[in-house]
Amino acid sequence: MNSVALMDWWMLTDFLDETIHQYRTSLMTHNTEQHVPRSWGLLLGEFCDDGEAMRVREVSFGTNVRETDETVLAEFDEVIIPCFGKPYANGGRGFWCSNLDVLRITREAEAKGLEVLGSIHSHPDWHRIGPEHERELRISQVPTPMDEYLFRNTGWPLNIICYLESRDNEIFHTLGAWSPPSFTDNGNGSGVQPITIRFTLARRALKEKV
Amino acid sequence: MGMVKVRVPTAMRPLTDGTPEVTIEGATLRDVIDGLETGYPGFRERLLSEEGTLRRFVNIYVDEDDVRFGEGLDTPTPSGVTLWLVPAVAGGSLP
Repeated sequence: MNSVALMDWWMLTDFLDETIHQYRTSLMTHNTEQHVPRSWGLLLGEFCDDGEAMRVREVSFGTNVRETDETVLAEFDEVIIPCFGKPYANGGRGFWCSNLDVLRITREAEAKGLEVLGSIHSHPDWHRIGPEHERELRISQVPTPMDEYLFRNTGWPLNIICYLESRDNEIFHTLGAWSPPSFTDNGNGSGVQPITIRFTLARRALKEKV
Repeated sequence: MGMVKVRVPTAMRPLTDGTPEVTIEGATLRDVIDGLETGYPGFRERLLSEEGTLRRFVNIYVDEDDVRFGEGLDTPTPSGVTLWLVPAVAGGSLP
């Protein structure tokens, strides 16, 4: 059971830059229904010898096929929207990486001695910036039923969500990480389990001196 | 029958006790999945739906070819090919 994710503090820089860009664009358009602030990436790294931790080494990016792939569209139409609600009919919500890109990224990672460990994606504070009719929804920093469904069916050992909040004229974020629920319990047994994220400290000090 | 190298993603590694690559004998993808299930129980459920079709959350490549756009489970697996199991990477975006 991998219960800890280790990474350097600057590992997520590109992802966070894109997250901020998406979020600000959404605010500027004043139409979060049309421009959903969406950002995501694949986490590459390795399992540590202690059997408890994963070390994230890189974030890689792929093509989103949420609105174009026939298999994905069928999954949303036949399962996800009926089960988890009409908001997911908005193709701007959620992401699905091109399978070819997952394969490519897997091979590129292997060439570097790394593996695909999972993914990271952003959750905006919808109750502040979303459409009026959705503002009663409070941001929840636990995986949604939809998240759990995807975590279970994809099975990746590391699933990170970046939660965003607008406060005091700035954008703040925090991270949550989870392991997937058991594939065989059909959602009735063990759910997602939290993973502790730890950032390097010594390297931060060294980098700042340079 | 061919011997096929199967690359096991981290998402399915619990089924192989952490082993990243296994070798399975089988003339077609269907045979290989049967062999995986025999050696490492749980693979069939991860790969196939109750109707016996490939799950939407998994793609399988025989070397460079996506079996979903070819012969599906009847895709030949000649000796020496590599089977890549590629789980979806996907997520949602709601509070």
